[in-house]
Amino acid sequence: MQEDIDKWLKELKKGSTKLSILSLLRSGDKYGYELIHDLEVRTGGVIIIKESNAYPALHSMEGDGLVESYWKETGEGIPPRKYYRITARGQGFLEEMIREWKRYVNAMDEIWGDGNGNQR
Amino acid sequence: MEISDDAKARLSNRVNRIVGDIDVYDAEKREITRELTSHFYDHSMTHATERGSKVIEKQDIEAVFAESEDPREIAAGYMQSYVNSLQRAGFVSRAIAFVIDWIIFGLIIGFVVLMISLPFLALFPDQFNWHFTEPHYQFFVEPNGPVAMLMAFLIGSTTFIGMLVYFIVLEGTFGATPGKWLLGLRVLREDGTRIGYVEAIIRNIPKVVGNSVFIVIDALLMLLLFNKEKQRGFDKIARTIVVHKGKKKDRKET
Repeated sequence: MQEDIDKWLKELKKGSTKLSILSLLRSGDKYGYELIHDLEVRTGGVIIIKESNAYPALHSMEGDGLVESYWKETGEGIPPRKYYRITARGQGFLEEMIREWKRYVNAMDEIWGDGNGNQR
Repeated sequence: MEISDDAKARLSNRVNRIVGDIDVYDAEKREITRELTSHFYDHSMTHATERGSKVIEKQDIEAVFAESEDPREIAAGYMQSYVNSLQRAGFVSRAIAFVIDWIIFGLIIGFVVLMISLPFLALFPDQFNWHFTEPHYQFFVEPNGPVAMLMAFLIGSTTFIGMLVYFIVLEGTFGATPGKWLLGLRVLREDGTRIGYVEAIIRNIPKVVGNSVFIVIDALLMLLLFNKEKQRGFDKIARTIVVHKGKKKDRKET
């Protein structure tokens, strides 16, 4: 049963990758590892995005004009980091995504809750 | 933070393994290599700091890899996001690759058939009818006896197995036959990930079964019905595409 739940969660998480990344970028430019790490820490380990998910998502969002990237030297023998910045278009897209997400959550609530987020 | 030499080598090795599986244009590959290197470096640095070290050692790298995914998974993730920007191979390049394949395969199998038949012809000449026609100086043999039939069977089955190996096994393993490889073509799944043997078998059925008629019909299907997707009928069934490795789609196409 746990395996099925994990599979379902995996699909769910994959669908919200862009949402979580863009949300985090709203508070400032970040590089890939920083994004993945911050997400894990901020959500207490609930949202853990894998590399195979995160980097392709960033690349795809860049292609769609939702984010921009730039390389930044770090000196100190650390390799340069690729930073991502949310664009105006990305901001708009994020706001729309959050609106839709809330709509969806409310809809779900109608199905199994009592309107206050409590189970019937 | 500093990194030990063997840790650095291990990191570089892993990144190259991942990027090696990503079939995109070189500039992108370089970019991905830099970013993944930076990612694993930072992750290992966190690890090294946690255990109180000022240097990234091999154990940090190993620990990070243990938590990370299979290199193929990461490559597949990337390929899925690139597949729509890769240029698909059209009729001409695929036809040329096919012709090259037949030439190469023909040469190889011709040699093999010769190697099989020589001992039979030499040791059992009475098992064959030898014809030498004067006017055109044509020379051929036909089997006439059980041993000769055995030779014919060996040749036939070797040729068939040779076709399976050449067209199916090679494509399933490397994503290309020698002809495709020479032209820089790759067979991929529709989502951009590598194909397996199942796809290789299905999509090559018209090449291996029956005579050339089937593959010609299949190619015509591509020209007439699926030209936009650049897929043969059996490509559609196997859900495969053929792309120009490392070539971006022309702007005007998108």
